[in-house]
Amino acid sequence: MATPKELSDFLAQAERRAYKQAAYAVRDNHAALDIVQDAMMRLAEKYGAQPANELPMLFQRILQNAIRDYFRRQKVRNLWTTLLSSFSGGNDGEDEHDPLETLAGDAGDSNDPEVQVGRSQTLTIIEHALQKLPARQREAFLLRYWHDMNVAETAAAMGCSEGSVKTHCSRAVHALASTLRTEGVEL
Amino acid sequence: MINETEFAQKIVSVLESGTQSIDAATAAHLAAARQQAVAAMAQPVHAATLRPILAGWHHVVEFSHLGGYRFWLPVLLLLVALAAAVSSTLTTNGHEPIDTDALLLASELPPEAYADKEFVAWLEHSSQL
Repeated sequence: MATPKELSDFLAQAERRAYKQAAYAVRDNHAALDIVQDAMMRLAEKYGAQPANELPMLFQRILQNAIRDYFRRQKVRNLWTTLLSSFSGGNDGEDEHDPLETLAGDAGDSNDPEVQVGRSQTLTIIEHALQKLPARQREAFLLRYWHDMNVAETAAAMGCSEGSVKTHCSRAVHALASTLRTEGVEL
Repeated sequence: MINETEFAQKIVSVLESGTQSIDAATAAHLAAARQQAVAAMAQPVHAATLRPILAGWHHVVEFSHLGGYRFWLPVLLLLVALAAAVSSTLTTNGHEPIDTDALLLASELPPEAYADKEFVAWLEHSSQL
């Protein structure tokens, strides 16, 4: 059974990645924060008694479910919005993601402004490329490489076969490489 | 041909640097959410714990595995509704004969007037056959 300290340590090292991961998926920073907060609470309340080494996979599973729940709610909301669109004013552009916002919000740790801007631009391009990936490819790529899970763990977290994980990861890498090449980014 | 793992590691290192540049408000929000989650884990809810009344039962029966209040609240409401329905039925059935007797006695017609004379006649006729 995980202790409160083990849970706290795990969440401390996972929370930022989880937030970014959710933000790439839902493209809404506030919604991403809510999703991560909800996932943390669910993990603590329902799976706090599980061994500490199972927390990463459980957390990822909960996070993915929370993201899917968000999309389901969005779908229902969009349906009602469409039905009632004639009675309410449009809010076009609310959910659009402005690359310049990300660029302005990022602050590198380098003192060289040129390096800082270059790094920030690269990050922005990569984040946008990730957002454009199909959901399952993005999920597989982030779990496998960013969260450092092996293929079996990724498959368990995603609820699919190991073969599917390998395929998703390979396609994601090639799609990202293609986008970066098009944008003229060298890593 | 790219080395997929190597390329992925480079992407990940850039992404990792991005997590360090998360704004202070977001970081604070995440930290607060983490502390809230840890507090929720440290203080599990024991509201559904039932201590047996019978003497000799020294152990505590935990019902939290049945879903806590989410399980027991609907069951409790169902029991209350059943008890109310049973009570209402008993009350109604208990008063009915008294009401009928009172009606018969208070009526201007004799009690025989309420009897089914045709049925009695048919019964007598049938028994004679």
